[in-house]
Amino acid sequence: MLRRLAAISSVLLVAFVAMPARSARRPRYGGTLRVEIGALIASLDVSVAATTPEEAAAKTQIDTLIYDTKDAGAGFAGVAGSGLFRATDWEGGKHAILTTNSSRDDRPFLDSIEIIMGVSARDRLLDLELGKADFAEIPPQDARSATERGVRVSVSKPDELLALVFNNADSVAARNPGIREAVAQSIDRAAIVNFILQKMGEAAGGLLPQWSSGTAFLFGTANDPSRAKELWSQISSSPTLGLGYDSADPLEQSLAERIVVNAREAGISMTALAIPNASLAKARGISQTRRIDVQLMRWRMPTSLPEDALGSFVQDVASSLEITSGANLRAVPDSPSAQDIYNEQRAILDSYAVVPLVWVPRVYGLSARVRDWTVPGPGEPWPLADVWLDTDAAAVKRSQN
Amino acid sequence: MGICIIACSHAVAQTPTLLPPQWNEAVTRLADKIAADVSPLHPLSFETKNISGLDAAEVANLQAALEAELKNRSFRIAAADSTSPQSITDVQFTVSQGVAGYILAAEIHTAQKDTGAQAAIVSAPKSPPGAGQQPGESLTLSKRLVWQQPEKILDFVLFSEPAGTYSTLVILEPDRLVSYRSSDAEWQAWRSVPIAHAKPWPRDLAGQINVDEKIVILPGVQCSGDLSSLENFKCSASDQPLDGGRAAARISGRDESSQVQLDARCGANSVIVATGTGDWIQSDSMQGYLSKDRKQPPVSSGVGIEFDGPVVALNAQGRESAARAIVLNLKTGNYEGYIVTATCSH
Repeated sequence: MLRRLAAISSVLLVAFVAMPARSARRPRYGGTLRVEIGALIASLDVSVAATTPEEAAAKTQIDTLIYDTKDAGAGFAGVAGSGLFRATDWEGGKHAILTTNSSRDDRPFLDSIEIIMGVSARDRLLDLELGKADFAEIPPQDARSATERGVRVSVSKPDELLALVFNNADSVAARNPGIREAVAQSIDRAAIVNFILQKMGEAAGGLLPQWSSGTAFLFGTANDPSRAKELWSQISSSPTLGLGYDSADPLEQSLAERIVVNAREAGISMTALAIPNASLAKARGISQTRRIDVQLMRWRMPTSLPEDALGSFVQDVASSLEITSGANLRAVPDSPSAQDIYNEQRAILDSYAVVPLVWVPRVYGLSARVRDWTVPGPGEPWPLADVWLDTDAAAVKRSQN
Repeated sequence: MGICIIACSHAVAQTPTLLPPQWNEAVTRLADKIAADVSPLHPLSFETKNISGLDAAEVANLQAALEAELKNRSFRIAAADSTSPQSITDVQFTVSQGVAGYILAAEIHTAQKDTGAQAAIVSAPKSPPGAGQQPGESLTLSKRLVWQQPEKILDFVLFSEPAGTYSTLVILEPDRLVSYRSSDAEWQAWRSVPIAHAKPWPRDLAGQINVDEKIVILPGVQCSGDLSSLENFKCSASDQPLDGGRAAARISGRDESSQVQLDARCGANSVIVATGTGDWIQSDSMQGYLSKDRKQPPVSSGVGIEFDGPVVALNAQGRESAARAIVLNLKTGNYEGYIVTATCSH
């Protein structure tokens, strides 16, 4: 038996030695990467502001490819096309073709990138499955089904927070700390992670994920319906709370509906209310309707560093927090210690003006021919210049299997 | 009449393996934070959780180091199954990890407070305590009980004659210097010199024998002469202040302790020994520290040693890697003279 295994091993060894030196692992130049995004980018001109956070994020991704440098103000500098790619075909809000800048010595492996805009999450997943797209972001809640359908999936660390924010200064209910805590205590985060996110995320108790701060475990994530009932019973007026969510965001809708169920189980009267163009309203600073007492919010970490990420969070949400709760917010000190970062989060969370729900990762779908893709960290652009396409059909097939 | 015992006792507590200095500092800072939040009157009960990439042995070593630091701050560690009638403070010690490095956290659940757990958090290095650890220097403290007596001892000094024929022990008491000689196991009273003083002694009387300068200093009094024989030993009024030993660098969490820098080196480090910070109605401990330079805080090294009462005086032992400690043993009521030796190992 051992002799037989040795013979088989010899054959395999010969087979590997006989393979050509140019293996599938060696990067190749050429090819067009087909990218699909959900956002609509109106203009690549840096002076034209994006109208939604989604557009701004997508525009930043393209800017990192076509501009050479980023200035101190985090904007892009230089002439469009000074970067690794040049926009050679552009139709605002529809599609773009970025072609490799051949004048540069460090030219990317790809010849070009074709970007199709405004593709729904469902269609992106379908196109990945059918091999019509090479690269697209997938909603985290769809990651499991994407894998089951044979799509290559690449997952980042969880770096996007979904949270409830009591940010309506006109809401009497939102200004009541007992109501805020009652809502916070009623939410079953484990159920959200397990059933809505299909375990593609983790329950959030703090304002930074565990992998970043190392102290998220100190913030509890368990719900306490009894405490929620007790708190709610002490509210004399017992109002019906309006929970706002972005009507264009299926995940927010699922979460809102689940939170309403949890709230009602604790005796809290709550209704989920879809907000049309919620992200547009947020970006333009449009005040919310008086019916909304609490709103679902997405916040993506701009950096892995806990002190910088928390500083950004405080800056991004501070105004609404101060209006609602009077939370004693202060700037994160220079070179804060782990204790400072914990204390800052605790000060915000003890007000219950922000109720962290879940941390979700970014999920990328890749075609079988995409090689050397590495997941970017928070605030980092897609590293498409390092990606190459394997056009060897046999190698692609091996990759698929 | 005093009783002389020559015995050597090494610390027998659960011995943490030497931690790298930065880890040691992190453990010390966490102990400081716990000590600031909790009264040492209540025993601490530890539960340890590891959610980092460290292995179980490394985490157990960190816990042992933390417990040793807390004992040095006069805390008692309760057994996990303790049924002590005293209210116990539960400490959940967690070793965690973030992008900036490891995190040591203590969630403190006190019986007295209804405010929930307090969290004490410190950052630790990015590299694990076991990784890249140099076979660095480590201190081992040992204590040798030289003398004990009911009467107060301010200081003592032990001379061994070069020929080894006999030893002389000089004890400084508030009102006299007394010497004993031994040629075998028995100590015999040899000479005694009264110490005259015009003013009453202060309540916090301290005195010191300076072997190098052959003098004895007490408040307002200085005596000089041959210390080993006490011949021609004379005392006179003086305003010479007591020498507290070579000034040691500031040790975090031990501001109230007695510290002395020994005339010894351990690698590139100075050697410091420091007592605990409890008052004089509690048992006490002594911990060795290594100090690279004055810009960096000394880091504790090795395991502390315990005493059955407060260390009421601590002096460097001449040009040796040792200190003289006077302890008031709370169990026997005797004053005890110890020689504490710091041994450096590599």
